[in-house]
Amino acid sequence: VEIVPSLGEALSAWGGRDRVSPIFEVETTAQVRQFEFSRKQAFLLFMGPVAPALADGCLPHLRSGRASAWLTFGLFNLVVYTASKSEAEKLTSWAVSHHVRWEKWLLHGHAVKSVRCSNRTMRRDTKPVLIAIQRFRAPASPPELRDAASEYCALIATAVCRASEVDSQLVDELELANTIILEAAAGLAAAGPQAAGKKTKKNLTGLRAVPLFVDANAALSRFASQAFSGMSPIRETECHFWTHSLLGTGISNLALTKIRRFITKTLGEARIPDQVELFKEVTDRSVLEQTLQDGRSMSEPWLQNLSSVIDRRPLLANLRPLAPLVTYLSGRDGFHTTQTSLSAPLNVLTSCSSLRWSLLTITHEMSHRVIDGVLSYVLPAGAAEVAIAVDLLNEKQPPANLLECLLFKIINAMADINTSRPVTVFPEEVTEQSLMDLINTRREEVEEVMVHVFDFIYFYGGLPEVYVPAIWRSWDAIPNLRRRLPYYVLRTLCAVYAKFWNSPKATQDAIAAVEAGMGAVAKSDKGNVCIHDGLEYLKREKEALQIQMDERLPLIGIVRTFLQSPEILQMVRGQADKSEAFRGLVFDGSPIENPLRFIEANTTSEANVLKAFWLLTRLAFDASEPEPTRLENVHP
Amino acid sequence: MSDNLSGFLLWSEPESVHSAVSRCSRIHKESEAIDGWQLFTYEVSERIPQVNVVGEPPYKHPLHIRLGADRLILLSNDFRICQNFIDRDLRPSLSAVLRRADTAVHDLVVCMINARKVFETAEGLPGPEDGPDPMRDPPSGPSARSQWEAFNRRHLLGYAAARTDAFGGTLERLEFSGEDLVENPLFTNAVPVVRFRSCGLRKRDFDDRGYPTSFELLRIGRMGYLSFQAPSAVDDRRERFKQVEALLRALNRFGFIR
Repeated sequence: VEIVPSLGEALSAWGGRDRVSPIFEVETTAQVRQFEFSRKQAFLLFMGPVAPALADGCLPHLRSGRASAWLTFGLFNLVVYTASKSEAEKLTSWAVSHHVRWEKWLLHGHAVKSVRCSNRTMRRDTKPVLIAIQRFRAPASPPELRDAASEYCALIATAVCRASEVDSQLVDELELANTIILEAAAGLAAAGPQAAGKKTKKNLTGLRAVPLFVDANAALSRFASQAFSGMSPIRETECHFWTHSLLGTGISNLALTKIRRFITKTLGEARIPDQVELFKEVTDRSVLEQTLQDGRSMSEPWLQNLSSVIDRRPLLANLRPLAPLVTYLSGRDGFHTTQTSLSAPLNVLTSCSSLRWSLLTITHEMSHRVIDGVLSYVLPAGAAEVAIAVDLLNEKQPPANLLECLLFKIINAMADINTSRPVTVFPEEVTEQSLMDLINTRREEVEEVMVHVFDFIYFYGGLPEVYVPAIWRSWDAIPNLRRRLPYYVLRTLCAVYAKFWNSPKATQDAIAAVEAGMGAVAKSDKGNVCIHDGLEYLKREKEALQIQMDERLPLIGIVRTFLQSPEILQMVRGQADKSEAFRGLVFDGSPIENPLRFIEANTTSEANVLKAFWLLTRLAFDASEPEPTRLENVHP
Repeated sequence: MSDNLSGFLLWSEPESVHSAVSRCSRIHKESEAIDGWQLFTYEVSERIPQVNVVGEPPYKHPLHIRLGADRLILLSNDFRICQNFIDRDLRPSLSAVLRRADTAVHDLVVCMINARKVFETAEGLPGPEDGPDPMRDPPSGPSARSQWEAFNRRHLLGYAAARTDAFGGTLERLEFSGEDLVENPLFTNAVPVVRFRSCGLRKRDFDDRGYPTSFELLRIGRMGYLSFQAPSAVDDRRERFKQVEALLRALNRFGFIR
């Protein structure tokens, strides 16, 4: 065992089987001199997961002056070295009495002579999950599906068993994720030929489920490796994130999980896409006309009115549980969501206290899930819906309900965008083919604009002074951004426009606010080429940008009006106290009421490794978990 | 005359807080004031920001301390005095964790509103065997259902302060005050769009003429904040301290203090 000041010093004597992890020294009252290994017998204790505020209670046992303590990113997040046998025993007793797992290495100098660890305790019975996994029969063909499904079964079983030693809630979530994934896979395999609308060879239908398993496998393998490596027996569980190969990154994974839980329980459980689906029951002509004409009903949030215009209680019945996304860190995937997973870049471990690698970027990814769900209800799918949409656009019939109004507005916005920069032919007399071509070529852009507006409203509280610097600093981390700068400037403008929707000079206000926000970043971040180029583009192309914003106004209006509800906003962004300013790297165990606001309050333009560690550890242990959103008359 | 006392409820490792208090050299015990409460004089040379003092240092402040096994209540004429004592005296002499209690004010207010709805309309109160019911039960669950009902019959919500983030900054803070907020629809309709940060609990009583009335017994805030009026008459004061402690014990039992 060695403790060295930097990774570089370890590399010079690297043996190929060496494992490393960063550790952060804790100042203790007992520590009288700089740490050095005793030449005689000593003990290295690994304990955790334990909240640092609680761990503070065991450090007074270190009285000999030959002891040191460190915090780590691993689930064994407290490491203590002592040359005193009685101190080591007191620490293990403390761990036992506080239900904290431990592993004790007996050292002679730097050499590990023996290892003891606490009893393996299962916090949750894994049998029901394992039986469910066992019952799933991976199909023998096609071989791609068989291989992916087999790997999935082994991976989810591993993840469940390892999680059971740490946190029963994690097991519950994995069990639910497993049920949803297996059902989805079965559904995809079965729906193959029908969904494709043509005859398909039977052994090819299963292929539709392969990407689902492959995606889940990638997430699960990283999650299990990163989160649970470094637990007992430490020397047998190697983390494949190599700068954390000794102790893993469990604390960071827990922090990510807490953020995902918060967003799922607040925004996810609000079931905005499911509420939007009910717009097809809204047939009040005055509402439809005002919507089509951008009238009075478009001036304020409207979603909260849904239960007053549909006479049914509750509005949403038989809700299926939301899939708990498997969270992991990935240098390749960065911030990304899929049907089964949520990833954050590895850089968050060292830099998440900076806006460039802020964990708030997760909100953009989670917003995609909502908007994607909404668009899947609004945009036509299947021949019958496409035919209705074509009739609407050719004005053969007026929209029969609010959902069709939104469809009409979104398709017209797509058409306007296509007119100024054509990528497909969209004739006056719309055909089914031209409509699908338009949707297929413009859906991504429409979704991005709507996601930006949604993210701005729900997660940044409609505050341009917070939003603009945050996104432009985070975009600086995106490779090859410069050639797409105009789109990013435009998206920023569209988001901020939502704030000034009712202003008599909304466009000018939005441009001024974005210019001010980008200007602030440019001033403090002189090396950020993107922001300087983006700001220059904004100043130079104001007229063109105004036209492009006008084309996208219906999209902004739809999000601001029909996807916004004060109650949901309060669930997502609400907190009882104003965010406290950063008070130093203090682990006082005080609960974090709203993890997103906590991140916002403690993220600055500067990266700081210690602060990133503090932020992740606080989130992992102190972030409170809200009750799932339950809206009166809407939820069962 | 009565004193307005304010301060904090704190948690620490069992027993360690006792020895820590005894190590604080700037407090001097005055008396075993009232049933387990100790009155100290807190003598400091520094001016505590926003606390009015007269004359030259050292400045003397009263400090009421109630020690439990793992619990500590600190009260003074201004909560800032308690905060100063925590930061500059108590925490440095304590080797264990010390944290302000997490008081679930929002949950308490919502539960009191639900309780009024349920207890006033339910025909025959269900027993604990009926299983948990978030509409009827405090966080501690159905086993405390009957005590929770009794609590709601004895206490009223008379003050509530909240923040809102529902309107994009056009409205941020709201404050409600009255004899019985739970009865008022203006108040109850606001609940979905606010987050309560402090509240005042009134105790039902009778005035000198025998009319039913109520008085504010305790104001509590998130993060362990406490405040109440302590009468100057010794017997009344003793009674008030007891009532406050009993109220805190009940809130702890119901799961609102964590």
